[in-house]
Amino acid sequence: MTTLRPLVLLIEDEPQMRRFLRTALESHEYKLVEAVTAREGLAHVAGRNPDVILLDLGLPDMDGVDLTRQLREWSRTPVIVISARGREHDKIAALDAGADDYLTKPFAVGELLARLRVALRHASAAAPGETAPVFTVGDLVVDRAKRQVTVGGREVHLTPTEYKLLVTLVQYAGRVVLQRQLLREVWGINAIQHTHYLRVYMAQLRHKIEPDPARPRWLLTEPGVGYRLKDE
Amino acid sequence: METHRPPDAREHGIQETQTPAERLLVCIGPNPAGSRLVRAGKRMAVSLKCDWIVLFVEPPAQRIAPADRDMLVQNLQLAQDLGAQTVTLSGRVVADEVLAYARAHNVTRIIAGKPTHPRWRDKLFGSFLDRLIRGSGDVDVHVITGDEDARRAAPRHTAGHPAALGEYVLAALAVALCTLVNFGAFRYLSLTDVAMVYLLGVGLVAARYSRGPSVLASFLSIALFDVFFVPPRFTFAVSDVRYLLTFAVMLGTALAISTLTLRIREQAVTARDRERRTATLYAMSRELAGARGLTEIMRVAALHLRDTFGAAVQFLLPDADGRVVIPAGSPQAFPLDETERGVAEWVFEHARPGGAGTAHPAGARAVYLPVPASGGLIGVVGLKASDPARLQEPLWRRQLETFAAQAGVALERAILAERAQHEQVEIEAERLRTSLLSSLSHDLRTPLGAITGAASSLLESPGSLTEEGRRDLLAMVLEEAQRMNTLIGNLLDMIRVESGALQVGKEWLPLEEPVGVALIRLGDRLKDHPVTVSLPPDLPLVPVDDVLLEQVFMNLLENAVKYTPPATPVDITARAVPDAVLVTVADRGPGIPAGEEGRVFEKFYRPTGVAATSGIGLGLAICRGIVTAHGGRIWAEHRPGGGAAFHFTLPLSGPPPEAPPAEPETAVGMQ
Repeated sequence: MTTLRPLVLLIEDEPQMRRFLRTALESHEYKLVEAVTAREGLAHVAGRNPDVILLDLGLPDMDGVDLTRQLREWSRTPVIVISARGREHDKIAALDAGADDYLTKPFAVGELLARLRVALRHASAAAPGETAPVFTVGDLVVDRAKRQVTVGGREVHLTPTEYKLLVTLVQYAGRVVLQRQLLREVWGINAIQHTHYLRVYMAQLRHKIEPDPARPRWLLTEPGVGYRLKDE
Repeated sequence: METHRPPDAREHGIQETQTPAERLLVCIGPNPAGSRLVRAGKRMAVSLKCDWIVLFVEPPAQRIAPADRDMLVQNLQLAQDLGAQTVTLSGRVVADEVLAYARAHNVTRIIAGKPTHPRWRDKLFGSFLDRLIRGSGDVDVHVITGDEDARRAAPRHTAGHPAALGEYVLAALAVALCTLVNFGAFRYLSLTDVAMVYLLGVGLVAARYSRGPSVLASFLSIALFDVFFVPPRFTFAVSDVRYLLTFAVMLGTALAISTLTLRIREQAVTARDRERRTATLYAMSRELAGARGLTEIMRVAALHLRDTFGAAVQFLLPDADGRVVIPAGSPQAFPLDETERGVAEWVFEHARPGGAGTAHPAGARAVYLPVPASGGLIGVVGLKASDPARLQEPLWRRQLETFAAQAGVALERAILAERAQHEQVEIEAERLRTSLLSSLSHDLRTPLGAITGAASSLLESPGSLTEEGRRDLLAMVLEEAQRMNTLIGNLLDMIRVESGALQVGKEWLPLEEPVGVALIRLGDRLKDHPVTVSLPPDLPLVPVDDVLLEQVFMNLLENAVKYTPPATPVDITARAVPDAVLVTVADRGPGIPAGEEGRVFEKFYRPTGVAATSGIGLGLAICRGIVTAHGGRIWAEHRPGGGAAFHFTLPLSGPPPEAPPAEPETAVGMQ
C-alpha cells in the first residue's frame, strides 16, 4: 500500500453508479478518482498511479476487455471488473485479458469492499503464492510448509491432485480463478478441455473439507466462470 | 324439330317455353365449324339471357390429328372467353352422351353442326344428328351450317389404332393354319365344316387384332376356301352359284365378329381409362386428406400430378400483395423466369388456363391452371411436361382440372387452418402483451413504491425516526430492490427463452454444484424453509449448462418459498433413470390446485384462490424453457403425503466423459 488511504480509480460512465460508489468508498477510507471514458481512465492510470481500478465493461468509447488488455501491457495495477448478470462471456474475457476479479451488478457495498481488500492484498505481495505458508479461513487451515490440511483441528486426507487444487486456490485466495487456469495449473495444458476433471475433484474436495458439501462455505462456485476460495 | 334457322332467338325461343330457366348446350367437334357454333351459341344465349354450355364428346380409342386438337382447344377456349361453361366428356355414342348430359343438366336447347361428311357414312355407321334428334324429346335441337372451312377440314377418324404389319402377317398365318387343318382333315369333313374352321380362325383374329387384319383374314379365308376346297378344287372357279352365298355369309359373319369385338375392346379401354383416372384421383384425395400443413399438401398434390401427367409441377400461391409466388418452404420444381411468372400471374388474374399450348399469354414453357377453391381462386399450378401437347388433350385437360380442384380444396383447408392457428397465436400474443404490461406496471411499481416511500421518509424525517425504524426502512429498500432485480432477471430470461436466444453450453458436472450455487445465492430467502439435499453418491455427472440449471433450481426453490407456509421443508432429490437423471424439488405446502398441474408452467400463471404474492408468474415458465432446451421434460404433481412435487429430467446425451487420471487414494497429510 503506497499511502494510508488507498486510491481507487473508477472508470464508469453511468452517473448513478459513480455517485453511489463515491459515497460508499469515501466513507470507507478510500480515495477516489473518477473517469467517464476509457481514454480518460487510461490517462488517470498513468498520471495518478491508482492502487486498484474499478472498471465498468460497457464504456462508450472502448470495450472494457480491450482496455484491460491494453492496460496490462504496461501496468500491473489490480483491475476489478463490474458487469451485469448473465454476461459470463464478458467476465471470462475480461479475466483472460488480465482483470483480477469481477463484481456482478447489482452488488452490496460489503461485497465490493471485500473484493477491494483482496485485490490490494494480492497487489502488495511480491508475487502470488509467496504469501504466508499457513492459510486460514474459519475452521479450514492449509499449512503448505507441512503439506497439511485440517478442518476444525481434524486432519483431512487429500489425494495429490486434490491437494494441488486446494493449494492453487489458496494462492489466489479471495479471488475468482478461471476453470481454465485451474485445469492448466493442476492437470497441465493438455487437460484444459476436461472441465469435468475439475468439477469431479472440486466435489471430492468439498466432501472432504466442507461441513455441508451441498452448501459450500469456502469453496465457492462462480457459475460459468470458475471457483473462488473464500478468505475472510 | 329440326331448325335450320340461324340462331336468332327473338322469334324463336321465348314464346315456346315460358320456363325462365333456359339452358343452352352447344355440341362441337374438333373442326373449324366449332368456332361458328360457339359464336352462334353465344348469340342465342345472349338473346335468351341464359346459361350456356359448350360440350365436346371425345370418342374413346380415336386419335385426333394434332391440328384438329389445336382447333378444338381454341374453340373451347373461345367458348370460355365468351362466357360459356365448357365440358368435355368421353363416350362412344356421341349423341347418347350429349342427350344424357343435356337431361342431367336441364338443358332446353341443343345446338349442333350440320354434317359435312358424305351421306353414305351416315347410312352405314348411323348419323349423329339423326340419333340426337330422335332422342331429344322435349329438348329443341338447332342445327347450324358449318362454313367453308368446315368442309375443308373435316375430322378424320380412323377406326381403332392403325394395325401393325405384324398383325396382318399373324392374321394370314392363322388363315394358313386353318387351311392346313382343313387340308389334313378334308377327308372327314363336309364343306360346311371347312367353312366353320375358317370362321373360327377369322373370329380369333378379330378377337385379338384390329379391323384391318380381320378383314384380311376374312377375304383370305374365302379365297383359300374357294381355291382349295370348293369344287372344282385348285381353281378360283366356282361350280355352284350357292357357294357365292356361302362366301357372302362368311364375309358378313367375319366382319360382324370383328366389329363387335372391336367395340367391346373400345369399351374396355374406355372403362380402364376411366377406372385408372378415378383410381389416381382417389389415391390423391386420400393422401391429401391425410396430409397436414400447406407444404405437405403441396408436396403430395405435386407428386400425384407429376406421376399422372408426367410433368414437373409447381404450385404458386398469392403473397401478401396478391402476386402468385412459390410459397416459402416449398422446393422449386422448375425455374420460373419473368415470362413464366407473368403467365402465372395472368392465369391467376383471369382465372383461365394459360401458358404452353394455350392461346393466351404466349412464351411460357409450362402450362398454368387456376386452382379453384370454394372462395374463388386459391392459386395457380404450373405443369412443365416434356410433351406439353398431351396436357392439351381434352380428356387429360379435364382430368387435370379435376386434380387441380381437388388440390385446391385441400390447400384451402390448410390455409384456413393455418390462418385460424395464426389468429389463435395472435390472440395469445395479445393476451401475453396485456399480462406483461399489467405485470410490469404492477410488479415493478410495487417495489418501487416501497423504495420511494422508505427512502423519502429516511431523507425527510431523520430526527423523528428511531434507530430501529431507520434500519427497518433501509432493510426494506434493500429487499425491494433485490426483488426488482429478480423480476427483471426473470423477464430477461423469459425473453431469451422465448426468442430462442438461449444458448445451452453443456458441460458434464455433478448435480451438487448447481444446487449449491442456487442455495447460496438464495441465502436469506430460504431462512424460513429447511432445505434438504439428498443426492446419491453414485449419481452420474449430467451434461448441462451450469448457469441455466442453477436458474432452474433457484426458480423452483423460490417458487416453493413463495407458495408454502414458513417452516415447511423443501426436499431436493435426484436419481438415475435410464438415459437420464430425474430431479425432484418437493415441498409440503398446500400443493397445486387439482387440474392445474400443467398450467403452472404457463407464462404469467398464478394459482387461483391464492393470495397475490410477488412475482409475475414467469419462474416456472423459464424452468420449462431451460429444461426443454436441455432435451428434458418438466412436470408437476401432487406429492404423496401433501404438498407439490416438481420433477424434471436431464438426459444423459452423448458419451459420458472419461474419468480423470487415477491416483493413489491418500498421499497428503499422511506423513
